[in-house]
Amino acid sequence: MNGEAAGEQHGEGTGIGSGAAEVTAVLPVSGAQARAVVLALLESRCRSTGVDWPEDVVIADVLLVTSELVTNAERHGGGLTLFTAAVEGDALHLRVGDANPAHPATPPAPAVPTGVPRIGGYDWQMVLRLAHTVEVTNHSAGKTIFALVRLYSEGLNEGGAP
Amino acid sequence: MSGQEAAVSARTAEGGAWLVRIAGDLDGDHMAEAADVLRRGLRPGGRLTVVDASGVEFADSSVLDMLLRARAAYASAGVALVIAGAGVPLRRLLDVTGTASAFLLVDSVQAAMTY
Repeated sequence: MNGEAAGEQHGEGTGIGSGAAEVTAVLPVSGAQARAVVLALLESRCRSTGVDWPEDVVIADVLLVTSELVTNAERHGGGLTLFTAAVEGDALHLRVGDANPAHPATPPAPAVPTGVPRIGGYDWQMVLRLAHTVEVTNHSAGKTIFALVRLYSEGLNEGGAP
Repeated sequence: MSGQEAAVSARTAEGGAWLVRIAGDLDGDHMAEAADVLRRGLRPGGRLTVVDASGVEFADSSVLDMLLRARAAYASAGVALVIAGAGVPLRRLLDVTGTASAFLLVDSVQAAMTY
């Protein structure tokens, strides 16, 4: 009657991020490889914890954030220097490092009122939009971008920076 | 849920529409080829190009940029460009960037052929 077993599925210490955090530190060579690493991590965590696979739209978001961060590091950041993915709590934590200390480009103004969208500049904007938290840390040799993406719908649509 | 190999192919459909199929995990590695194939729908006599996107498993910002460039070229040429069967990954890309309304999106290739 202590309720521990019944409450276990909803307790703080359970869920996809319960137990030891799983961190992948293999440096991927492409966005495709980084996406594969993240999918494998989520598959492993869902299997080992028995937690449901996230919704399709969440998977789409996770893969977009992963891919855009890694692609940007390769394209604009002087090369990828760090890539880790971990599940903590109900969120995916990504850390992506590159060799360029410059902050990622601020997205241009939104689509002009004519209804014709601009071409380009959506990559960083999507990272900011889809990740719950984004932090850029500069250091002498480059920068590290931390992005937290929620895996379950609670809070999914909170959107925007505070 | 693992990545599917990217594929780009095209053929002339019944009725003369240029039918372009993009599928799998699509990113910057494949967009030059996709853009080339899409441009071929702008040859003289071209009336309608349908992008069969039903097999797209993943699409990033480079795919969006390619589609937006194609959209602009088709609009200039007065040729219809319709995207058919986009699933969650591509729809999410268009929705989150606020670009979905710039495209003609339909559920199926069959529906696209009525344009």
